[in-house]
Amino acid sequence: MEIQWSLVLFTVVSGAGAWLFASSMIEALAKKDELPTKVESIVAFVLLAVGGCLSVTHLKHVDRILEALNHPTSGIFVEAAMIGVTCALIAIYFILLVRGSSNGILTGVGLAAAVVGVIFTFACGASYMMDARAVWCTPALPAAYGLTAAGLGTAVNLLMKAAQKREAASVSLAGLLALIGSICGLVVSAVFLLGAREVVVALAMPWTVALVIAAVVALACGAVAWKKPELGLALGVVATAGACIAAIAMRVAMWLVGTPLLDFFLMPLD
Amino acid sequence: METVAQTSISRRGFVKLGMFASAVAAMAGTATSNLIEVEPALADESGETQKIRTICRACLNNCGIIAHVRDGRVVKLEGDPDDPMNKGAACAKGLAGIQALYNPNRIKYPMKRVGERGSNQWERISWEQAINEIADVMWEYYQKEGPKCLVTSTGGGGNPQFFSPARFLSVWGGGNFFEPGCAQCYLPRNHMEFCLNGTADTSLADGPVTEVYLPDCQTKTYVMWGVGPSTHGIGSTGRVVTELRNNGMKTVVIDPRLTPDAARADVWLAIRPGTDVALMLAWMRYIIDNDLWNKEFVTKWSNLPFLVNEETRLTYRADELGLGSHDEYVIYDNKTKSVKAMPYPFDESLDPAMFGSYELPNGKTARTAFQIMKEHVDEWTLEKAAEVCWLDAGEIEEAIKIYVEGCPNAGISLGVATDQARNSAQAAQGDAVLDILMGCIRVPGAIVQDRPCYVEPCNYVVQPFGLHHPDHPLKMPEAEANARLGYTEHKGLGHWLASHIPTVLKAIETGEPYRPRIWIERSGNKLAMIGNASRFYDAMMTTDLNVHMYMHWTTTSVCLADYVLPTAEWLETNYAQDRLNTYAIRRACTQLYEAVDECMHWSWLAAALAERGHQRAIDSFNPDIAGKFYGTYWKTYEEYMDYVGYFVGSFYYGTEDWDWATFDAQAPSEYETIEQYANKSYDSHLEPDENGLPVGFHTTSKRTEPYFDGNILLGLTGAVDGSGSMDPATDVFPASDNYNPLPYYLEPFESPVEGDPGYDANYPYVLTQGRLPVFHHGTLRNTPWTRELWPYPEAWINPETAREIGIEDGDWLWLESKRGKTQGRARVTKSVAPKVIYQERFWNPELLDSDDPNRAWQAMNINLLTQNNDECPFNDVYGTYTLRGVCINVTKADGAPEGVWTEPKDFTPWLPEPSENTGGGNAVYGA
Amino acid sequence: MPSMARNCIVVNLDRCIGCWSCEVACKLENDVALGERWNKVVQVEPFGEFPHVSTYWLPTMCQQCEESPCTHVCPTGASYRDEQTGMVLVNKEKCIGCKYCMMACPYGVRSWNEEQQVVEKCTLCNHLTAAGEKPACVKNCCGTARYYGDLDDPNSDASKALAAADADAVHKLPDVGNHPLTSYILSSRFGEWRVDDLTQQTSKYVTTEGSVD
Repeated sequence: MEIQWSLVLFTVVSGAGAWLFASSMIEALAKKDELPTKVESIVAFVLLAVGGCLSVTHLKHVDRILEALNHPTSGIFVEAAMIGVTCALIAIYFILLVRGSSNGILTGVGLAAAVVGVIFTFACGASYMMDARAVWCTPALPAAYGLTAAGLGTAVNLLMKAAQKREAASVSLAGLLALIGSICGLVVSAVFLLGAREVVVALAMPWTVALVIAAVVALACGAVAWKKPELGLALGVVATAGACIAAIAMRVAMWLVGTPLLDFFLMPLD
Repeated sequence: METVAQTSISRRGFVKLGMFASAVAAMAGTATSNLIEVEPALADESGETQKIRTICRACLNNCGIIAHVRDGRVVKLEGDPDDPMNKGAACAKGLAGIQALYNPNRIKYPMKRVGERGSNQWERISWEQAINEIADVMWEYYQKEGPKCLVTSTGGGGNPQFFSPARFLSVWGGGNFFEPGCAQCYLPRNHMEFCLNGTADTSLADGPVTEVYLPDCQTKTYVMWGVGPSTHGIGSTGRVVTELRNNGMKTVVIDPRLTPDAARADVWLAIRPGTDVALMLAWMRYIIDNDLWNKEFVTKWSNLPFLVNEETRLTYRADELGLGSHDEYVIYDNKTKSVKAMPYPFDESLDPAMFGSYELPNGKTARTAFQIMKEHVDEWTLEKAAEVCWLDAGEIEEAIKIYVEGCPNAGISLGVATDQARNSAQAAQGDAVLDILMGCIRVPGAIVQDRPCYVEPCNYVVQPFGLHHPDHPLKMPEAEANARLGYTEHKGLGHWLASHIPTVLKAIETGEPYRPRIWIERSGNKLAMIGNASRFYDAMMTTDLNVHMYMHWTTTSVCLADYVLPTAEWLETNYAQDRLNTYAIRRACTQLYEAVDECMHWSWLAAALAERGHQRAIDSFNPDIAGKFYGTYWKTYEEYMDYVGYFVGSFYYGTEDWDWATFDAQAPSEYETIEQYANKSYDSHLEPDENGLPVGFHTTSKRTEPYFDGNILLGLTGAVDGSGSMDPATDVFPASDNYNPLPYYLEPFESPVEGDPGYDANYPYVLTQGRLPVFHHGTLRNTPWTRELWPYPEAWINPETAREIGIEDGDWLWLESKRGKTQGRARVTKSVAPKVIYQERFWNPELLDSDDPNRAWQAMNINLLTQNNDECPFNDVYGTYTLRGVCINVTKADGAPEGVWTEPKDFTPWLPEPSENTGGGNAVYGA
Repeated sequence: MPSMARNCIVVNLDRCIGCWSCEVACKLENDVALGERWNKVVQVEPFGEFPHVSTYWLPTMCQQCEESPCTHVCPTGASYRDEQTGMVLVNKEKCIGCKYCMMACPYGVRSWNEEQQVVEKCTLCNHLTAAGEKPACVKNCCGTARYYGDLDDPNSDASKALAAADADAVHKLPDVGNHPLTSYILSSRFGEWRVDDLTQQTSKYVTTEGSVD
């Protein structure tokens, strides 16, 4: 079926924001770096917000958006709610950070933002688990959504750490996280696509190839940065690009193979 | 000055208007862009909706329709649940009536060509100017060259008043009338089946098959031979056949194409196009060989026991042999072992030999007609038919058995397919012979029944003067009638007062035997419907005056016409129609622009000729001469409507004082009970005449005449009912070749069979056509809903053949015959046999405004491939040319023809253009 | 159990003659734009060995699912089940045009109104049925193949059509937990139900044996 670009970009961009913040929190919890910085918080917030706005461009009647309050159990409502909560928590975190709150409070709020954000990235994929589209109806789909977002978010984190000239240990861990993120993203994407291999071969082969190459590039960059953090900036740039392409390719492939059970009206979605 | 090119600008303007209209409607809470109510609760507040009971004319079936009219506009159509035939059903064609009515492509006013013929430059003129200018040319040629200068024509599509061109010719006093149907559609069946069975033809689409609509219909087996109820009069025919089939009636469908009815048949015989008569002969042989024929009926009520003169091939009359009177025929009596006269109706003391050869009192020998038939069909084994028809012998046998099991409560309907090839007359004969052999006539459940409109005007209230009254002063003079082009060779055409199209074209091309100058045409698009359309176009470009009467711009108007006169859609006309025991009414729901019922076009032309001194035209307005039965020509539409009311009253309700208002006040209503209607047919030949004898059948012998020696007389004398003098009046009617009393098979002139003389390896595939449920003839190619459903003609190709040619589903194709090439789009399907290609007629109104309007009839029109030329032989009796079963080649094309519309949104410019009720042409012109 | 009606259309495929009258009737009644549709008749391409092929025409429209995925995924409740009639309907004024319902529909029988930028679908002509009339596609059907009514009401046309059919002739479109209400009657005399085996090639619907490759 037709590629829904605004939905592709929505989940990629907002997913990057959520996982950037989460990666930064992981580094802090691993005591390899401080808690997420102002810049990191702002970037994560902006990515989430821009992503959210991109999702709205998919709608034809934004003026009626408040009608969504009528049906608070739908996938779209849940996604919107979670992106809103994540943004709010990051905003609170930022304010607390600016006001110099204690590490304990910051860690608590930051952890909450990271957890909700990460769940959000999986929820984005879960919304597509529709019985009507058998190839989508697998847990591998939300996993691929969440973990390709993780691949991208961790790569952005690597880039940010290097750009902020953090300690080598921090950049090194960021490289490791990027490696793990992209490996996970690649593995679950592969599981998802292998589950639909016949249609993938028929309809989405170029994007699948792009996904694999881009993810391998990203994970290779992560691996090198892990061992050679001094190259972090360049590797971060390349890893971000690769992971971004991989995340996009996974989603595009998903749309292309999303044939419904029966499609009698052949009514295009755009 | 208004040109069609400018019209295209206004069409774009219309799109904007449409968008504006829907924007307004959206604000008002109702969407009326298509003049359709969506939320009646709101819509009802805008004005009262009137529900008008009327009858459709999107095809020939006249289904009952309820038109919803609000503020003078038709806003909705639906089937009339109280109609006895369609019972509420309405098909896509009928429902698209709104889009035809309000189509921006309507011819709205009389128009006169201002550029070269075919340049599509037009000037709007008044009705008065149009009628007078046309009449001037007619009168000039009439005085100079006589009535032969005129050719009129009509067609089955687009609300025709079938007989009005022939009616006009009877007043005009001569000339030629043609219809692309006629010899190619319905005339062979309508005439020949009636001649043989003395009762009625078997066309389901055209109305005579009434039995199936009766409550508790007894039909056990229905053989649909080239008949597609689901694709022609669908609301009536499709509905009723479905009903019966689901209630257990068995069906056999013989059709090259897997139609919806073929798909549900107990046996589908996917016959090779053009070979039907071969199959019929095999059925006849099987029935005779296996002694399955109806002894009682055939012995007593057919001419098969009669002895036949081996020289003249006519059945002997008793007086020829000194055995009895002229009215009696001759049989061989098994009891007395002697040749005897058979008195009418039947002498029970005689035991006629059905088969054999016997010595006559004059020493000659003679065979019975049945013996001749038996020998005639002897070569047609199931195996031979299977080979010729590309069928399986076992399945042919199974089909015959299913038919025979149902007999006599069974029957065969013959569709248009066989009318469209050189074996047309023989197929009609074969159909009639089979039902006669099985006694499937005038018994409950039989298809052949004695209640339809074989002589009653019924469908055809408006008739040529003198049709049923040979001495009528306005009947076409005999010498002129005999001079009709092609009539001498093909006398069956006389039954419909028609001329032979290829001979008309030849006369225009060569001036021999005389040159027609003026062509007045009233139908949709001859260039799409006539065989070998290029030849037709070339000929008609050379005439001196072409007038086109129609509702919509077509290639006939744009490419050929000098004057274009707007006629009325069925929703704008008043008429009458029987629906079984009910008489229904067509009521004008609105009248747009200056369009007017065609009966007024012809009336106005007659009036203008009368003004110029044309005596017969003057007489046609004189009630003392014209008479009440035919009515005068009409000065106003009201006069015409009153005539229709009078006719229905006098013919059906036994009252002489009806006018339109009386009819309108009670229609539709029953003119007899359904029981009377049903029962009047059963065994009606046994009803006593004034002498107490059974009335018999409507034939010369009063028996059915499966051995139709009347065919010989038809050729010799032109007597269309097969009677006629024993002495041919050759001085008046030059003899044709003797027509054959028995059906005989001719291989299609162009044959796909390797080794046949007609085979050409360059054209290895055989093309057939067939009806689609969304179009009727050339109509509805410009109504968005129907074109959206079927945007381009599909060429159906069996997967095996597709592989052979190297084409895939959806490929655009070139189809080419010896006469031309055109395009279609491949549908690779098991709905047709290998080597058989199906494509329906098509034309593209969207190309009318292109740089080359001729492409509108050339781009995707299989009639560029069909036959209408002397090289390809015609049927002897009717002059039928070949539309189905021509040989073609198929190749892959690069793409669709340039500029054709294929996507739903493409048809937006044809969405309805809201228009007021103006009263039509009657409001601005009256003679 | 809530006493909600189960209104739907039942189609007797033994009687559907593929004439598309229902499509035009629907467009006329509901002002459905060109290229859009609330109902569509597709032909299951002839399958089997020529000439012993089998084919039937399959009218498709909203199947009025009991577990309707469209209403579940709709973020605004624009796709909803009417309390009174049990009908799955669209309130176009609430529709934000996200098209999730179109993705969730297992049969692709929802339509996109390009002019209004909202999702639409078969309403069972509820403006007519509320007034005691039949839906336009039902009353104009040339094969008398369509029946409307409440399956819980044994006297409805839909219930009677089902009751009159052999149990083994009653079929449904493949059910992925959505429980479509619409039933299709196809008896072995006229055809073989092959929708589970149906794949789509361009605009054609073919079974494995009907494949034209």
